Amino acid sequence: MSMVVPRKSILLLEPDAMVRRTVALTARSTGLAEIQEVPSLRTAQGMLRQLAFDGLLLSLDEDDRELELIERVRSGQTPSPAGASVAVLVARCDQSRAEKLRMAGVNQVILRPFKVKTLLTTIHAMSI
Amino acid sequence: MKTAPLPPNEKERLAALHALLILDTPPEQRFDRITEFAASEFDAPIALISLVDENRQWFKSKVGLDVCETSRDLAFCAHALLSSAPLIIPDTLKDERFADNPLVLGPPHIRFYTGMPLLMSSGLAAGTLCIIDTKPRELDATDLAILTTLRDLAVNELLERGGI
Repeated sequence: MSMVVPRKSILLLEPDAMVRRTVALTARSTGLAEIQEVPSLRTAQGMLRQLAFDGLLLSLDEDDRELELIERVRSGQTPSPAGASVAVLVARCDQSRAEKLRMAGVNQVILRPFKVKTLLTTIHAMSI
Repeated sequence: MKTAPLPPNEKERLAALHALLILDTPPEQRFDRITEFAASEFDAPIALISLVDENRQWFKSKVGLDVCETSRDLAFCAHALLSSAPLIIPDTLKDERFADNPLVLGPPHIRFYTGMPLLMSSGLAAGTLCIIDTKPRELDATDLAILTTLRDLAVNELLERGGI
């Protein structure tokens, strides 16, 4: 008897609608993962309260407000596993910011501009 | 050079294309977003949404080309209409259908072409979303999946307007 392995669920916070839709639709069509795509921090907060995610792909703004999402996950305040993989999308990353992200529990930093293919590779790694 | 044969359902295909009421309309951001995204994602110098009319291919959206249409006889996209699968030409000089095509031997010097048919709900292809390069290339499965998604987004925009 074959067992159906449920697809991993990933939260994608990204303001660019073309990037969001292309990542989500391609991940779905290839069976890579189910992507919940949201455009804003506020929507992401709501999603994290309600659903469990195996991985988070978060676009950060200049003041890193989105790091509070990671803090909630890491401290077990959401249905997601505290050890869920987290990658962040940033426009710049110097040494001090990299250290701040590491301390926040970020597993991977992706610099803009990036390719959708890079995000799909990251999602694949989160889904294994 | 081999001119593409007409699809068996050409009359119905042209009727469906014309019913979209999109030929010779001005550029629109909703389509340009898709071609610009495709050009950037694939580092392709040319990306097009090409609609294949009776005697021409007309570009609803174009990145990297100045002309708004070419003769159908020369059009790679006319070949792509013949199947619902993508038409992938890794190196035009190694393909007898295209090796002596004027668009290969002269500007824009096409060496690589991949066209994804824009299938209307009838199953007929209005044209293609295509990417073109001036050097030979290969696409992997992930590239094709991304291009398929962009094609689907383009089809959604086409059907939203014409409802065919």
